Amino acid sequence: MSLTADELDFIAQEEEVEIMPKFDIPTMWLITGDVGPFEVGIPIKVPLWIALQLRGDNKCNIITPYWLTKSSMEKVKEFETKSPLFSKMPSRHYMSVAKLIFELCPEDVPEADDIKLLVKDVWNARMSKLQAAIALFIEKGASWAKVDNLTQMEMCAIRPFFPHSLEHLHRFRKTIQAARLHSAGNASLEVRRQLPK
Amino acid sequence: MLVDHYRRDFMERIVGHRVIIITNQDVDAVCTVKILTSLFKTEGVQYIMLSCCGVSDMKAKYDEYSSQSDRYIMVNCGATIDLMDTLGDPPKEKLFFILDYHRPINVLNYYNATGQVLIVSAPEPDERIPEFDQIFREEPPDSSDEEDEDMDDDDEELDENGMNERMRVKAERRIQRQMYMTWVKKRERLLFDYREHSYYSRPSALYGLEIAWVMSRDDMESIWCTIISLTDSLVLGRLPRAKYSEYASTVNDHILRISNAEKLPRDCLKIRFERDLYLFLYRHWSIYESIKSTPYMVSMLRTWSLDGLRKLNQMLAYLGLPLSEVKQKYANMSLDLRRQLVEMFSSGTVVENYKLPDVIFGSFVGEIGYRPKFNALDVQLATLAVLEEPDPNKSNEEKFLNAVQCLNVRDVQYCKYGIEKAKVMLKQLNSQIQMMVEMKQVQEIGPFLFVQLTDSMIDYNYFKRPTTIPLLANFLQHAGIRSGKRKWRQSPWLIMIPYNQEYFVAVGLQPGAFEQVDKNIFPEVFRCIKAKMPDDVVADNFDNWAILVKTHKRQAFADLLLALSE
Repeated sequence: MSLTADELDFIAQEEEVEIMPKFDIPTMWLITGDVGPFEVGIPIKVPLWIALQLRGDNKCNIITPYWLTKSSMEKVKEFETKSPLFSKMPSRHYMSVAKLIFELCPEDVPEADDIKLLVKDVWNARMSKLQAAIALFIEKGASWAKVDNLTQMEMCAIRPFFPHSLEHLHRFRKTIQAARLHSAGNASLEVRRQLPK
Repeated sequence: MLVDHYRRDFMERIVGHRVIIITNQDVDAVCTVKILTSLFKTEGVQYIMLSCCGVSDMKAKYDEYSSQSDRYIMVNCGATIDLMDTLGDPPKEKLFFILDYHRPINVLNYYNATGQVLIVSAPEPDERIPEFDQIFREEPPDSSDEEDEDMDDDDEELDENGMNERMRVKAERRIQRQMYMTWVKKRERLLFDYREHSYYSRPSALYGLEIAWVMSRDDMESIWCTIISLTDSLVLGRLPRAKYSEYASTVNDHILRISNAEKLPRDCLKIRFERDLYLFLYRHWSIYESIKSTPYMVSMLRTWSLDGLRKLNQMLAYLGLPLSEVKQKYANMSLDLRRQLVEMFSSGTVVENYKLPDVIFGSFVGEIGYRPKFNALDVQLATLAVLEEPDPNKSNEEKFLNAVQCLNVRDVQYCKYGIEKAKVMLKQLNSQIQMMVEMKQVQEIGPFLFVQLTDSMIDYNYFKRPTTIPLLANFLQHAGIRSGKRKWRQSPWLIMIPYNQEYFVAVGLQPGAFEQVDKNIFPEVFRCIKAKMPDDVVADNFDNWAILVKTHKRQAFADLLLALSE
């Protein structure tokens, strides 16, 4: 049972984000932790899910995370396109966070259109590297590989395809072997004993 | 009593309580309700929304729900009637906030003694409400019996000074009484003058927007609702163009305050104020069809006759619009022509030769992302059509809720449905005018011009309530004047529209109501008539220039009207 994209979005909402509240209330004692006190005009760090809820009710403004800016994203994109390795992304759930913020309140993010394009470019670069790595893996017939700095969303994206295709390849190999066995059925006993069952 | 400070006097008295919103059924109420309910949702205020179609309906709904809450918001109902009296003197804890564009405000609401009636839509400076002292005054003590008793008691102790004193007191009292009687006469005159003219003022949605602004909860969606309400007031002839432009520029300031359009990302709602054609639904139709359905163009060009059609074709040719293009759907027209349309129609020749100065007006256009743009005029007509949809299976409340959905900018499904209905409505309107002109149904009765619409094949279902009747009535008047005699411009109009089996709607229009918005004296006149024929006339609406008359009593009604006008 693997995680779906929606479940990953849910998990991503644990990330902390800064907001500027438009209202005053004292500390809220929640099960997962305490939040507050909220004062008008004073920025405060809260989990993303609270930030999105409050923003939906127009009770706060979300301050964009430092990495979701044009300059920061451009640097990341440059590194990703030049280097064959994966860089460590500033947030473990960069895709989910970006998607949730852009869905709800694009007007809070300055230069939102450009940043959207940059995030998508970074995603494409990483995915193409991943696909090239997979192709190499299959070609070499290796049994294990180590990749650093992949985010869960990217893993989730290839998870339906990757093991499934490896299984198909395995089945093909088995069929080929069985076919060879069959054609070698007229060979000597020793040969037959040596072939895998 | 007026609400001066929205936060202190209005919101703080509402937050924490359950609110009942009672509304009239018109587009402005729909818009105001949308703004207020989204504000209440974010503030966590529970509300019950009741829409009613008349005074008796309002009273019935109030009686039904009065136990549920202490705070009432009356949208577009209740300013002109004595609210406390109509609702049966509700207890002191119940507060009523009135957001109404109907004028004149009833003086008993304005000078409410118990502090229960609070008027949010404050009267403008040029509305002169009579002063408190001119209307309310204590009756001076007087009763000649009392005086005589006094006199008898003190008979024994008469001495010269005492006698003079008493005479002086009696004389003083007589003078006071006389002054009081003159004051009463003056008061009657003042109130009569005040109540005589009915008109409309600032749409309630503008007040709704200001309340949201004060609470820092305004956003583009609220501004869009306000725009629709403004357009509605313009189309149905409640505001003159100058006022519309004034309010439009106020709204434009709000738009600029909230966002700088260039910096907004693509996905947000962006609204622009630009010059646009005053042709109904032209983006969803062909230009030709639209010109033939817009009341203004039809009346000015007289397109009901062959001559008029020829003139229209001539004008289009003059502007350089080939007929084949103009009869296609707007979306299929060539891009160059589409871009030049506004320029063409505002050119000097069109304005002078064909006398169409009002074809261009300042309108608002909204867009989201790469979706097709939507015009305020189209959305307003769609909302109107959905609100007045002649579907017997849907209750009035359901239609109101559907109309609220039409204002949704992200989900345009209801709007599309409304636009189709609006096309049907406009077609009906046109066929009615055609029939009226061809059969010469306008008659001169005394100082009035009388039009009786017969229920033949044409469906009147869209024009039963004061929400849409102005469209029909103003159009009738304009077309009638253009097709008839010149001197008809000076006369007031009386129009009878079939309502159902039993009743007709009688509509009274001032002369020239179609071109400049004027104060209407007919509500007062109709009130006098109702006093004389109480059983046959039903004046239940909040807009009382349209009332119901029993079918067989129409003649009596018209006779009374003539008699009163002399």
